[in-house]
Amino acid sequence: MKSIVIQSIVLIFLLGIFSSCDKNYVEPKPVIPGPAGSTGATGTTEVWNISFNNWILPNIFNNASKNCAQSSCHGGTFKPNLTAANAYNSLFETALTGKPVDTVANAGAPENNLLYQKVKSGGSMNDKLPQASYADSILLWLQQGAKNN
Amino acid sequence: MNLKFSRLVLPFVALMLSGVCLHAQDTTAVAEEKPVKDKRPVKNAFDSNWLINSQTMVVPTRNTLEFDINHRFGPLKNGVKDMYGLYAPSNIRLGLTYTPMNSLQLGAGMTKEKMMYDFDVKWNPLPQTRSGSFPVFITYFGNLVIEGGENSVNWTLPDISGNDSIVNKKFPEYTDRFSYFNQLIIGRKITDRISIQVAPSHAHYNLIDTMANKGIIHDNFAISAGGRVKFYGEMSIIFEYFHPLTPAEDIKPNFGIGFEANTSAHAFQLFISPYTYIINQRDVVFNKKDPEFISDYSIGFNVTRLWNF
Repeated sequence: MKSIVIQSIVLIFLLGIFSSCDKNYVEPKPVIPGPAGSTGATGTTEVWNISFNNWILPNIFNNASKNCAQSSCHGGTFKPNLTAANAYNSLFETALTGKPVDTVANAGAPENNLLYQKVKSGGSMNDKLPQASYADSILLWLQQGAKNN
Repeated sequence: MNLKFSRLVLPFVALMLSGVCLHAQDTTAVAEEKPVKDKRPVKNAFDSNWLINSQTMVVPTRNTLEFDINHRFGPLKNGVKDMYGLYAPSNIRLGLTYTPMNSLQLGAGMTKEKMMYDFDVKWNPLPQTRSGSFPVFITYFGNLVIEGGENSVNWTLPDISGNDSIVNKKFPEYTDRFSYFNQLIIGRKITDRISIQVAPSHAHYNLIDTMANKGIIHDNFAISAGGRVKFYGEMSIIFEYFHPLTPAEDIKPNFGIGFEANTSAHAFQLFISPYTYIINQRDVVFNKKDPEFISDYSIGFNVTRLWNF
């Protein structure tokens, strides 16, 4: 009887321990590339609420100097179509390579989205971005739920 | 007269002779029985729950309440400026343990550094027996430590209108305050004067900061060894070595040596050691003081008071 009590106490203690066992990291403060004219020594600003239509689209996908949506590229030739009229819906379309943005499948892990995988440092599209670090703002947009805002 | 004397003395002589005969029979009977093994745990393998910064393999007897005062002064390096750390900022733990049944001890404590609350269990299912039928103590010690203190803000991100939209706090979730320590203590009372123990250990942190501590991981392993040598009465030399097996960058091992004096209800330990966090997992995972340099050592003491109910 006594050994059962002892074992129960130890078991409850161990269960209590391992049920709350976790593996988290202290998150670094993200550096968000800001829109043109933003302040900051490195040309960045700390602005939350990434707007797809007012920031992602004009500054990244349809940037005047480095435009993803050229007719020979993502302007209709390759998916996703990143022209202003089609970009948002096209990012959610099922393509041969899968959905570039799939908030359902990657909920809680936006960094696994195909879009971010392509544009992040080391991704095949990273050097096509107007600034390589703009991938961070795409990740933030994904983390905020990839809204059509 | 002689007859009277004979009447008095002879029965005594007869009784004594018969006693001798009976004694001889007893001796024969005992010699034929198998010796009974004494399976009770050996007594006083250590006289305290503490061995400098670690736990000993012993669990006090049932219904023992123990009050602990653990104190670590500042490092010796400032010399007389702060009297070798005696007047430097120090770390203190106050704790209580209770043994509700033989071989199981439950405890809790509070530590000043980072206001840590610890909840402990020590279980000794296999004690060294007096007959030697089981040669060592095998004891489990585990704790859950909750880091208290303010949940301060690490950084914020304002939204487009300048309001804080995202606030990153030191502990994003409550369980990020938790850390754990598990230890298997294997030891032996070799003689009445000498006891030693070895303890493989595991320390887990729910939240780690890889930017502030390069190479830090969630699950850390270490091994320690220590012992006690009584040199006069209830006075002993105590020592301990703790070696992290999976250290992050600049994390150092520990060596501590000191003096212990005991009474039936008290244990008093005075020692020097680089480890000053008192909480085992913090010492193992975060200590950067180097035992190779005497200036990194600190004076510390443990005092325990026992009550038996």
